[in-house]
Amino acid sequence: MSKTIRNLLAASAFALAVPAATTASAQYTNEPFFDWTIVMSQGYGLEMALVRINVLEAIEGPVDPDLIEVVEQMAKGDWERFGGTLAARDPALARELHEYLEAFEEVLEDGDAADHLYEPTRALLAQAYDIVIDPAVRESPAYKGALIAQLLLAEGGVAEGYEEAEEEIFAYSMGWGALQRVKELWADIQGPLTDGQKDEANQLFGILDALYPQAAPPEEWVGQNPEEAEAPSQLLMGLVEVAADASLYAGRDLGRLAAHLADTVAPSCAMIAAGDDALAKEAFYPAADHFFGETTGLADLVNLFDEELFERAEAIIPLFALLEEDDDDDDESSASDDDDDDDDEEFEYGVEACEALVQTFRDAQALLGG
Amino acid sequence: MTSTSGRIGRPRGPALIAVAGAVLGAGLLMSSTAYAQADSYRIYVANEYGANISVIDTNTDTVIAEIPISGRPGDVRPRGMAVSPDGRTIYVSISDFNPQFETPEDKIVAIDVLTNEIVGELRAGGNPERLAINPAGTQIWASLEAIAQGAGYDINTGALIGSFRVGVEAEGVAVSPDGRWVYVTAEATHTTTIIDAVNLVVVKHLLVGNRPRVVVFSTDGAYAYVTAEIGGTVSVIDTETQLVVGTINLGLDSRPVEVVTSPDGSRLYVAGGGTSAVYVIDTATNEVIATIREQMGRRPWGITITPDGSKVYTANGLSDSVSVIDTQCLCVVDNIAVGRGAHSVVLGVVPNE
Repeated sequence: MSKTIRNLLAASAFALAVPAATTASAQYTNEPFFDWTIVMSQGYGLEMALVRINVLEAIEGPVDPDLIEVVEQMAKGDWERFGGTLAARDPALARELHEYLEAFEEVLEDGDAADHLYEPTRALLAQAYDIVIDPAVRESPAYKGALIAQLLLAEGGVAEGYEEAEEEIFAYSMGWGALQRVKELWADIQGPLTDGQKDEANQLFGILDALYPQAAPPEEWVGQNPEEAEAPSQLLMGLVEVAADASLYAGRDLGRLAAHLADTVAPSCAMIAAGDDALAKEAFYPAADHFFGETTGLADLVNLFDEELFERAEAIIPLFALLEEDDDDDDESSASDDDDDDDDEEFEYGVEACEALVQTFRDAQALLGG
Repeated sequence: MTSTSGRIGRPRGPALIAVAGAVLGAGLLMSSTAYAQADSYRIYVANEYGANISVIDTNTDTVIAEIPISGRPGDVRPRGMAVSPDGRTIYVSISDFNPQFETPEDKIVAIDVLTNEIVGELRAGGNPERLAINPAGTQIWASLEAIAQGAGYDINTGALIGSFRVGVEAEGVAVSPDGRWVYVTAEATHTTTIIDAVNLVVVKHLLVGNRPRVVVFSTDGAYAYVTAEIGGTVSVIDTETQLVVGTINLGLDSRPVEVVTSPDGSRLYVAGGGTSAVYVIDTATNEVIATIREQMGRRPWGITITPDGSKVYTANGLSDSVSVIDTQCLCVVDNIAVGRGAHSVVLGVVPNE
């Protein structure tokens, strides 16, 4: 058969295949990372704060200074994901909760136990959860599935925690804490699956439990395969999408994602101009998650096609969102900095940088065809 | 086995290297579809966690050998494989489990199908994941996962022909039937990079489906097909225009990985790890004409087909098995236990001599 004839024959299929790309996305009813972009980030902040408390409580004995660095993030990046909304809706609760979150670092650095902080902080976080996240959203399988996706695959989650433990040992503990929460959420949403699918999920949880037998990191990490939690987490995600009836990989259409990030961040520029910085910042966290996140690959792709565009985003986003450092990324970016110091654009926190980021996402959209 | 420091050939002296060269030289004369009818075939399964290769005789569909790759399962893993054009040599990519580091484990080993012995090795630093051989049988190309490169080596001398920047987390690799182009997929950037294997330059990066895994060419070389694990798709690339001209949707839950073309070019068989299914695609219409689920092993990842097109074999990573599919009934007729973490599967030829 000639190529021309094959192209013609295939054309009818491709005519179906193009809309089918939409159909494929529509295979699942929900797209929480598009429908509730900032809400999912707020939820992740609340969940991660709880995970840090649970990890701290589960590890016995004197508190390691490296663990304090992990715990203190609850008053920083975790807080900034939802603190603006909470402060706008219940300023008194916001003040009290933030004081408690900050108290952990102070107490631990003084060498004291934080036992007295656990329950009141959990209670305040529960109140905050009720105020920040719409209960109808919070109880939906799509929301819970998206939380599982973040807890499994995002920075500080199950797969990344295991991978990063070689460099930061308490990333392991965070991975353990995230896994415990994933199992609770999974129990809530697994109902629609077949027995075979549930068995497979149980097998995958068994693998992850074997990797994470306890909260405390192993005494010796040498020889561990850092990517061992990645494969079972990714396989589990396939089942989570089915159970939650939700598409949980925001990067399936990267052009669309870039456009969506521009739309998500754009209102924040006006908020910054109006002095609503805490609220404005909440949009930058999911933008950072989805731009730099390994599950989307958006930053890597932009870097491959247009290095300058990537460097602009890489320079601006940290002005607005407190990102946990990645040693590997530091190494790569420092090498790049050495090469291009003279050409680097410089940005400062403010409306201009915000608008430049929006334009960067729009440029990425144009590049990727969204 | 002694390291040959950059040569695929028997590792102990010029005479043995010449023997290996002769074996590879035979591959220059035969295409993969030119196997004699009386040849017999062996299926090679790379067991990622068992650090060994299971060998199955296709006449009996039983395991006849297990070839150890490393005494350190869990630390060292065999993954992608490729076959010489005459089918007599299997090449296996070996790497450390830690993709962050270049280690002495990063290499390609050659297995003689007749003896099932390792007959040579080639250093390939940067965590080689998958392999492809050019049709002349003179070059071996590897995707180097940890360093985002595609690299080509002279198969007889082990010399590096060239290494090229591709997308992040390089994964699949294929050489076009005319030997002119090398396509390399990259999981993290969702790209397929096209390398000109004659002028040794990168031609372009193409955006394909999300988390691309494996790329294969149609038998006539007119198209390349790229599976996308998270996208649940197969991207169709017109190799003349070097553009993505179509997308075949298998469903978001399908998680496709390896793909193989039937010898007559009329079908694609795609291993769907997410649904434990094999998708059968008509290449004339690019439509899925059958989905094989019944009796399939769990998480099929690797897939290959016999030269007569009658049987398809899948490597099933979660059930540590190989499923055998009869392509007439499009049904599973057997499941064979193999080693731990079956990753990839290829077919070797024992010539009728």
